[in-house]
Amino acid sequence: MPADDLCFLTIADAAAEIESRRLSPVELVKAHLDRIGRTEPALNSFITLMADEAMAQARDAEREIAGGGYRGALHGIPVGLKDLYYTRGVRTTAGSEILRDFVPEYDSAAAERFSAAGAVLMGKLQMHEFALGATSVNPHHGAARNPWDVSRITGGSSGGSGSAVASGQCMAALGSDTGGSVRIPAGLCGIVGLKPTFGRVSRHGVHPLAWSLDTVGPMTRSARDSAIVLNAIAGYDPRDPSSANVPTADFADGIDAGIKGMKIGAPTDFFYDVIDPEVAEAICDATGVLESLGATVDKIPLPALNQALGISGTLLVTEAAETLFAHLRDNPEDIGEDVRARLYLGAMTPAADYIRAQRARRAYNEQLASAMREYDLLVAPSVATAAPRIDQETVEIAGKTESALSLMSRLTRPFNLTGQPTISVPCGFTSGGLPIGMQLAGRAWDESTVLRAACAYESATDWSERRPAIG
Amino acid sequence: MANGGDGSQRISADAVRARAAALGLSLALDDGAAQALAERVAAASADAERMGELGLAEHEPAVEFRPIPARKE
Repeated sequence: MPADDLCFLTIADAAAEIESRRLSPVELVKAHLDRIGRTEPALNSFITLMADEAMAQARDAEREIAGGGYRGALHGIPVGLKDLYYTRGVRTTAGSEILRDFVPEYDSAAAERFSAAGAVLMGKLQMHEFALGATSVNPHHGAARNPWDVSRITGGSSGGSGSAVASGQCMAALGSDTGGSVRIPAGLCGIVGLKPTFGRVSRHGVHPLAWSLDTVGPMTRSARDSAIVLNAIAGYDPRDPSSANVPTADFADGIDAGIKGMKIGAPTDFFYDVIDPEVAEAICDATGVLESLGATVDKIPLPALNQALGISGTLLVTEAAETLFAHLRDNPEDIGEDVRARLYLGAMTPAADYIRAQRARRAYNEQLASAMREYDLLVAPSVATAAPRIDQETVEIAGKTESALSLMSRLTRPFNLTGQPTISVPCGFTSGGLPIGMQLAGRAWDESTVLRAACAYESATDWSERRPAIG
Repeated sequence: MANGGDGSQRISADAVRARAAALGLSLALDDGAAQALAERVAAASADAERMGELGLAEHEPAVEFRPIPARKE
């Protein structure tokens, strides 16, 4: 098999080859490093590339597997971590200037889990500074660039994760999602991004942004691969106060069962108020596919959605300002202009507004929970427009000029408030060849249904099989 | 602070600077940027005002406090 084809195998397929010893982890990692060498100058996916360490891990994996010590589906698989996951002995910048030389003394829980599963860490991935923004245009480490058109953004904040997975530099990456930072780059880069239920995956050792919203999740090229990664990282961790002590299933179990008989709600409020017609059309077509697979799709009112941006905006910037206050006070000149402005806003927000937003969140969540009692899933677009150019500040939609930045997280934030599991899956391309994503949001703790529906949709379409021309 | 007439609390750029100083922040903003920040703060407060449309009377904050159980030695 040509080396580049190895880089676009799914984890599920590569794992089968590795387990049967038809594919060596060394060969697989080397193919990825070669591809990184060719594509990285154009993409800028990595903040820290760990080529030597990756080859050493690959050799260890090969030796262990040859000795009968195969650990499971991630053994020998090349993966990346957004550069806010602590990695012992490897710098972790959180995309900032302030932490440019910060080297953690311990691993994040997710890095521990990846290591225990035998995954090969290729490096630390590009991101929006402190994860407080959705473009990954980073004033300190450069812009992450979209593999489908390198003049365009990846989305963010997990932009390097989106770019690396979409371009075949890694088979999976972890992002973090506070207002959409897994699902936005997944949508704009044409891959799968899963925000698990809040509390499902430990945040221990993940540089925080907003404590009541931050969620850790996988980014892959298929729903099945997301299930494989979630299997490795999910589970209770007393080191994270938000971690929930709930049972974890095998998330790949039953993933092929289809969606016949499922009830899906399609909210008519909010999601289509400001949207590129090509994106709206793609979601309409995707909804038709879901129906053709045996699901029932009902248009439903959910007026609370109209309050989502106000509530999440207040919570996010206020909690972020508290988290990063010392940096804002002591080193404001070392923080990028856009992030600094958001932190100032958070610092200035009255406590009464924050508390009111948390009260409103309860009312909001009750309305959405009520819908979830009737529906297995909600369907919505992931991002209101395809990826803007890196230098593009506004987008024209239906004759109106919209801020490109505010459009990025507009449609993802509603599901951070509820903490419910939500996936973004590729559901088409614009006439300009840019990916479009669809969100499927499920009931709390029911990632399995979300993954099952995403897998069924993937099987019925070929969007996930397309590759960007780069490299 | 002054009432904006629509229920929101409007604050001036000077008030933003004063609040920043009280927090120990050196607000490196020119007048235009400080005014823009003041407007964003006011807009956020207006958002908070509108959240009342959800009917908040019976709603405690979403964040739950959980006592930490005492550990036996």
